[in-house]
Amino acid sequence: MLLLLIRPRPFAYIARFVKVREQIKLFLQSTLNLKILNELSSQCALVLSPAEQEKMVADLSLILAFVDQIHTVPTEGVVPLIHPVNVGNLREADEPETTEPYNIYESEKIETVEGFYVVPKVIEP
Amino acid sequence: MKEVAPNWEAVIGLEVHVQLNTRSKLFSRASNKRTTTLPNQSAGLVDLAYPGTLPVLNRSALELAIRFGAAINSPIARVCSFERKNYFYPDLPKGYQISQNSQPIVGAGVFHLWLEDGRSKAVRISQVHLEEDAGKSIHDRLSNATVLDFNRAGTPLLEIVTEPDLRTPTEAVACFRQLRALVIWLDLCSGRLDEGAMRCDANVSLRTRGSKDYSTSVELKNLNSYKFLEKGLQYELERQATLLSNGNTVERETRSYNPASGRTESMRRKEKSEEYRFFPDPDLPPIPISEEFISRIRSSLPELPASMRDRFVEKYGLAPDIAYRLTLERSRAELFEATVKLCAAPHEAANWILGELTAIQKTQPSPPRKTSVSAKQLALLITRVKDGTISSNTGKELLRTLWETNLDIDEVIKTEDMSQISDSDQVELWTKTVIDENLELIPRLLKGEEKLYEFFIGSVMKKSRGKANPHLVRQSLERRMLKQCKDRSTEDD
Amino acid sequence: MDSFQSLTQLRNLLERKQISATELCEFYLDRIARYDQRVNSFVSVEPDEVLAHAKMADQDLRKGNCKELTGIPIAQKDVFCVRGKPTSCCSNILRSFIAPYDATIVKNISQAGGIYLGKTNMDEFAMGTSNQTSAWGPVRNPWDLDRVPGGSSGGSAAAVAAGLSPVATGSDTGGSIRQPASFCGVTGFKPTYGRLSRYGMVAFASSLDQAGTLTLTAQDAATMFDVMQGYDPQDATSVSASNFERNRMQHPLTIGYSGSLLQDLDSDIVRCIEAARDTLEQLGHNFVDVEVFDQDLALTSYYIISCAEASSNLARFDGVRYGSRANPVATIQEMYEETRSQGFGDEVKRRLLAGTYFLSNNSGENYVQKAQKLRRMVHDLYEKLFEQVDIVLAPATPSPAFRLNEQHDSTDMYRHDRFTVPVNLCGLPAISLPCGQINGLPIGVQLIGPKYCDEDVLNLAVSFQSETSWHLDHPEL
Repeated sequence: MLLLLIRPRPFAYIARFVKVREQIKLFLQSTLNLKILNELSSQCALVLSPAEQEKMVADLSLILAFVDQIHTVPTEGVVPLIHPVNVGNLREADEPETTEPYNIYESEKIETVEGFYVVPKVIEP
Repeated sequence: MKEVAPNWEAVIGLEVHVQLNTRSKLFSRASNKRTTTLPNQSAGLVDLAYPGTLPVLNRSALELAIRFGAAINSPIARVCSFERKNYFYPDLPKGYQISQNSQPIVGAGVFHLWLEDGRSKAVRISQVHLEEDAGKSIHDRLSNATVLDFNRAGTPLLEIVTEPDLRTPTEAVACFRQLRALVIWLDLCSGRLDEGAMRCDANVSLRTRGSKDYSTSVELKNLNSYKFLEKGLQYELERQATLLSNGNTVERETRSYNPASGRTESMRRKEKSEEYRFFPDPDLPPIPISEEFISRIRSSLPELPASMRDRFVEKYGLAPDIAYRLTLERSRAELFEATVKLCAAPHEAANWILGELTAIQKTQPSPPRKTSVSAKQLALLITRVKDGTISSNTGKELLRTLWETNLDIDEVIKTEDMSQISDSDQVELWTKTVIDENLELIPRLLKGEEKLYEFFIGSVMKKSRGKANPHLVRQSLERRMLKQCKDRSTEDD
Repeated sequence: MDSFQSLTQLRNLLERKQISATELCEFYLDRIARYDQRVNSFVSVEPDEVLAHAKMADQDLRKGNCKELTGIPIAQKDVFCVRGKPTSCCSNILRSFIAPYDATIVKNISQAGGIYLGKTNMDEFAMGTSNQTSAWGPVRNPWDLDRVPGGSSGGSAAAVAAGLSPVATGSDTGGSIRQPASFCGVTGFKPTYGRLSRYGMVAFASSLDQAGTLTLTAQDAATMFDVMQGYDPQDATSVSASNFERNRMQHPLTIGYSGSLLQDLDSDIVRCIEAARDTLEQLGHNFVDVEVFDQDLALTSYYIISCAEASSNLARFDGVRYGSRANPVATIQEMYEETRSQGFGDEVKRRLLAGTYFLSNNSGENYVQKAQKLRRMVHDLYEKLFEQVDIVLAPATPSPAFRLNEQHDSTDMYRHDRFTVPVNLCGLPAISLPCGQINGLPIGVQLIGPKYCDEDVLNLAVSFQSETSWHLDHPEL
């Protein structure tokens, strides 16, 4: 009887282990440093001044600390909800329609040559 | 192709992009037909990613994708969903491409390749998915800037990805060629390589012969014609073989084939293990695909080239390579069958179609004004050659006339005075005249100079303006040669 | 003329020819000229064109050619494309952008005879809860000019509250209609996702965005909803009529109410919410206590999903085809980076960076996938809830309007959305109604309904307003 009482309960063990792992994961995920910020900026095509970088690292770390609580919720077997409507619509008619002319207001502001949009040279091999 | 190195073998997989020939674009109502060469004129607000615009999937494009999947007998997804592939590039208007990464519309399947030696090879297709084409960046129009044309943006693309089951550049070309034949057959795509309607990239590596390693290290781009595909792969395999035999390793990278230099070049654009941040497109909820929808498409499929090929061999006794060539194009195969139905001469029909008709086709301006002659015309032509009304040479001439016009064959034969002259007296007369005109050549003819024999036959034919029955001409000339021989031997005696 | 006439009243005046459309438009244009320098609720108004349209409306009215909105001036939030009009989303990156087409809801309103009055101020790309991130400067709350009007539809809420426009459109991604409605003491309606087309509404987070209205009364919201709603083949998420053919709810309704929601709120607010509950009880409805999902977790899910979608949606603003482009630039990379860094404000940048992080694959499940699972849990919980109750009653905001430039860190600001966000996660219809005042500042209560029961929510709101007068209280300017 005594033996039974002191015997560790396997489920509790697993639960504790999962919790520790969850915490490590949490810690890893909420670490946002300058290096990660620079990667993110480059993926977003943004440049930040050193002052902005410093502030952004602080802000984003705070945000991550806030959202990281999401990892504590067990979601096994839950189907992600991506769209609030279940079924999308198809365009039934494969008929070209003349859409509204797009460049009526923009033509003077955006650089074009002979109807082409122009951007700085993209270096290609 | 020369052996790369005896102990290495190539591992090649293809990624083939097929522009679907829908009337409007994949997600917008803008025209998908390039009726204008003016830049940015067939790009709508959606294609140009104007703020607030949204994509809606074109049903036709979905049907065409399923049609392809049904043709290669692959499983069709039960829902059609799209993901965003995020990256910045000037000709990518939204900053992401709508594509299918984790749920392709068509799953794994097999494409049976027919090889020249008559073998068939199973090439595994890993997936086929729908995505939108980007615009075009043009780098050489202005010296200091890149210009952009978004007419192509939003064109529906079917991307067909094969497993690296191809072992030689020749096999790779055969695969591209036969995939092209299939998509034209299914009426999915114009197949115009010169217009970029089909484009090809390859994943390529070398492995120790017999190894089971299917990993590929180099993605090779710009292989958009049979020639580029073959040359590009040949160059790349040799490059890799040289590296490996010198004890070097082949770097994982994307390279581009440069047709001018004949080399493959490392793409300077950094690929940096590209983080595309795929995620389901929130603008496009999944569209369920019912079994009934799929079976309706399946039942509307035409007979496929492979099955037709086997049937032609079995039913008409054609050689497999003849059957293969006949079934490269649907119009050709259909013309064959219809013709045979009318004239019951399969071998002749195959010869005419693959020989003269294909030759005429090749001389046509592109695109041709007319694709072929009718089965009725061809069958009658074959009959008239067979029954001796016209010579096969006349038949060839007649075929060209028929291509241009839509006349009745018998009428043409009559009005153009084309019918073969089988009047033996008339033929005798022409032969006699030719011999009389060339008496000095007779001794050499009798000694058996082959060329002179052909010259005499040709001269008689010329006299008849091509209409003498060549069979009769031969008979008549040989008779007269015998006579000459006899005459001369009596003289000698 | 009284400055705060409802749409229904104005239609009556116009139909009875007690006022002309021209007089009506002149009246609002005059008020805008007089008061909006202080409120800053409009970012563009073209009086000549408004009056030209009013003149045409008067001809129609004379001919008895009256449609639902003939002669009524209507302000559009700057997130909607109006052909030939500046559409900037109050961002520098679209500062000079003129839309080449009409959003579907804009088209629907003009086809019903509504007159485009001008564009209202908003948080940049609808990202914000205080209307302080606008490139055109902050909007001030007409009840107290030192306070914020809420956001992101702050301009629309303030314009209606100040009597500068009888109605205004809004967009609601996480509460952007209902929160400013609560702060400004007006009626803010966010319909079921899919019932109002999103075509032409510049996207912030596509799976959460929904157009709606800010009005003086729930009856006006119903009138506007009728005009604006409908299946749109240009929006794949638009819902066709067959999806929402169902029986209307029968009186008395069972209304869900969660005491635990009010736990950390000031007693003043609790008092207002309880008063609203009492009113509905007096109308004969029954209340049951319900449990709702952990607010913070729903908020986290919302925040991850909205940032992730925004980071992708806003990639199109690259300076290549329209909008502003940084100049001079030497390389394409520089063009992208300078254009976007100069064009976007701090809040937008913060969310783009966060969204990009959430979408990154840090091996296995990323934040977005996890957030979408939580979204499913919130959704299922509400589905279950609506098996027991017809409507849920909830606070709209945890406080009345706060002061401009009051220091909040960003997560504090985000927590402000906790009562409104679950509605967007589930795509539900909800309305925010004025239900009291705290130290002279209005506060709202939310009625939330099951999907596609927009009409039921509106009906209940109308009957609530027949018993209350908070919506008839207006600020003095």
